[in-house]
Amino acid sequence: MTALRKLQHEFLGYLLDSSATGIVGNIESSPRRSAEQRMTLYADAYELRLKEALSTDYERLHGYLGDDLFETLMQQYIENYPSHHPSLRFFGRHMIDLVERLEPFSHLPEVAEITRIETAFGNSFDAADCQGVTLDQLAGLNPEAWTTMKLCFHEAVQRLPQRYNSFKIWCALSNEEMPPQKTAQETTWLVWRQDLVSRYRALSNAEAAALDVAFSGGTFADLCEALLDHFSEEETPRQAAGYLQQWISTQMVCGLSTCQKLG
Amino acid sequence: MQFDEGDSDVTRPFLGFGLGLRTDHYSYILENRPAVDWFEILSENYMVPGGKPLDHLDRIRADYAMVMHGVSLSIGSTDALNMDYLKDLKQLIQRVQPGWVSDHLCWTSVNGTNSHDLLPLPYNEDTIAHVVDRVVQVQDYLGQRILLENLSSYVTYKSSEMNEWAFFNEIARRADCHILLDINNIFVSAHNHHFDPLDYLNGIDIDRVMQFHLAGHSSNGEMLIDTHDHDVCDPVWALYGTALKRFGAVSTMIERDDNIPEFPQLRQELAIAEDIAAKILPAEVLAPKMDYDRTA
Repeated sequence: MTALRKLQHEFLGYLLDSSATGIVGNIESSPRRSAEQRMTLYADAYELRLKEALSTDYERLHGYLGDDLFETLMQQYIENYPSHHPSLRFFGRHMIDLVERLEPFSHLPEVAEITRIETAFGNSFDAADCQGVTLDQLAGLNPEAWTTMKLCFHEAVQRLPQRYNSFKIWCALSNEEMPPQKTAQETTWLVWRQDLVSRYRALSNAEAAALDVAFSGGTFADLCEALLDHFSEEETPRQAAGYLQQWISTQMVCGLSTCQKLG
Repeated sequence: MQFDEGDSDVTRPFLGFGLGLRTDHYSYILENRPAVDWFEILSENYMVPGGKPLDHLDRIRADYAMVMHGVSLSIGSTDALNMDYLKDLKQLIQRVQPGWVSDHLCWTSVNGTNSHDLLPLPYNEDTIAHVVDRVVQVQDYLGQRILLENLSSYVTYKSSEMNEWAFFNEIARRADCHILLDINNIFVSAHNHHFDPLDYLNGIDIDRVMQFHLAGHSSNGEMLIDTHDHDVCDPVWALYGTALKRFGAVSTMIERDDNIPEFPQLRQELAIAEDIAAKILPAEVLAPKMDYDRTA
């Protein structure tokens, strides 16, 4: 190991754990500022910068947990998930892993759900752009192509199955209102991006089932079959077409694969 | 320390006077198209797959010249160069078509872990050889010269064998790269390490300097901290004037990253830089001249 590499290891080691003071022996002290005091400036800035990133990404989670618990969460996150990406934008991406395994958060299921909501909005914000499928393209398909048609969704589209009223808690926090008490409320929520703005809505059980099929690579025929659990045989094709139309008109669909080329 | 006015006949691209592009100002810029010669973007903010950041970037770039400024190149790291990062950077360069691309003479990561801070290097021959080799590789990959910027620093390594400006200048010469001189960082480091900022200015080759940064800083009592959360202070303005006398017309911008004022207020601060330059340099050298499309 070169002297420079050793120095960098020791420097970073101190930022990650200030009891690892090997770096201090490499630093000049001045009459008014010891080497350790000078290194503390870097350690403090490191922690502050990472906390700022987490506070930005998980603002509502912070609001729900309050300052003390969120501080504990941030400390634990910084200790357990050092940054391996050049951009701070991606530093907090493992938060769900921590809240699902660390007490007391792991005993508060709504905390994981709120975390997933915030992560979903972060993902949606800068997900790759795509040229959405248009209703005209859909209308141009041969009737036979519908049966084998598969959908490709925009990366911003995310389904969030939730067991509690966490989205309502999140909404209240976003509006700076007192969040409601946690109550059991099974709903699948949808987050997507339309005209560059992230949006959300609750899904009916039928639409959630249809999306599950479409996301897992099922054809339009498979999707219709899944909807037979929710609608009559007569209603099903109209409902399925309605969902498809809505997904396309809200820019959720970025590709259709069929045996027929799109016009 | 005597000030060395140097040779001000150096020909370099001159963009004029710019500001750092910040999300707080997107709406104002798009709605008002304020008179600013150029914007400097933080490269990493736009190294994302898509969405609003890139949309805003494209719309603003359509009307303004831009340069790119990064914080994660980690040119001094002893890790291998991060080729994924460089690939993303190159892709962004192709999109933005910037006047130039800069980062810092520092290291930010080692062993694959990022500090997200600009950490100083020891100023010695081994480090020079290491950094020069990497700058050459980066410039070869990007197909263009890069600018490296001086830091504000708070520590001095026992293994340093020369002063910062000798180290900086030697790297720029050997790697054949350009210099982004941060006037505030010179002031901050001069205070923290007890050197004369004029020694620094006089130690830098005139023809290597392509850009100036100006910014505010804060104090923790004994040390000055490069926080970019205040207006540029009077001594830094004075140092800027001195730098203009030595280096001539150099594209200048103000960095503001915290406690960000409304755009018109920041624009007024930039006008101070324009006024100082107008008193020191002839009008003809202050007309932006640049050999690339100012609008994409």
